[in-house]
Amino acid sequence: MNNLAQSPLVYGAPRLHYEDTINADPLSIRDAVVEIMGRLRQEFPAQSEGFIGTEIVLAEVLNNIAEHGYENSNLGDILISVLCTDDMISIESRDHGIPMPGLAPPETELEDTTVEIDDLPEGGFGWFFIRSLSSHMEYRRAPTQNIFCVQIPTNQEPAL
Amino acid sequence: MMQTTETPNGTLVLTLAENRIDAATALHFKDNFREATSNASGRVIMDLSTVTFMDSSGLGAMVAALKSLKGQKLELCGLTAAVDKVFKLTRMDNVFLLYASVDEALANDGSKGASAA
Repeated sequence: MNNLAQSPLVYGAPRLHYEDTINADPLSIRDAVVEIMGRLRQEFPAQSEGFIGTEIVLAEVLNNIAEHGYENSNLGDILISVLCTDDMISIESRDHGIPMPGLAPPETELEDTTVEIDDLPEGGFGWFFIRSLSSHMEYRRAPTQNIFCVQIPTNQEPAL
Repeated sequence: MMQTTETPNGTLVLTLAENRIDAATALHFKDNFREATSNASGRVIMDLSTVTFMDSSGLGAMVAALKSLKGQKLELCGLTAAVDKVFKLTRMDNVFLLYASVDEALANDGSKGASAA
């Protein structure tokens, strides 16, 4: 079950800390994203606009784990931890899937979208979204775990 | 997940009964779209005003939907802030014809230049 603890309102201190373990399948991921975003919007109603980027990053991080770490098996756990301060959201995921190739997040650029319709990319947007919308990210491989952290500024959207 | 109405002059208007087009629904979306548009000969307009979230899989499904029309344009209406963001970030806003609402799309003759979207 969800373990939701709210800290006292101290400037700079986390105002929302959410932690949960979910199964790595698309529907469980969707439920977790909806749950976390509901909590964030409730706690920080003034920043709802800035949360659009957070929701995209959260969904992409978790779906990447299901698709690549656990190779679409729908089997495996993801531990999600979300920390929110007044101007920053930190998301950390831990999973026991296969390591990222090269032990680093892929360096994906946005593919050209000014091409003929038949040549338009249908994928590869996920890491582009994560990189575009976050201010910092970090991946490390522990002996049996992938640990990925990403931070999204919420008061101002990062420059594109 | 998709409701279809056809105007007297053969324009197909698709309405989504789904508020998230994401990894969980992308495949279903593509299948539904192909089925709904298999006999389309006129304009194809999709109302996205109920869609409050779209991720990379959802965007990929939109591109696949466009491709399945074999050269016919796909006109999208009522993009919410979250959907608008993924289109703008990937510059897909220049690939689809975008309108504020279905009414606005229907008032237009469908020949609007993509760059004016």
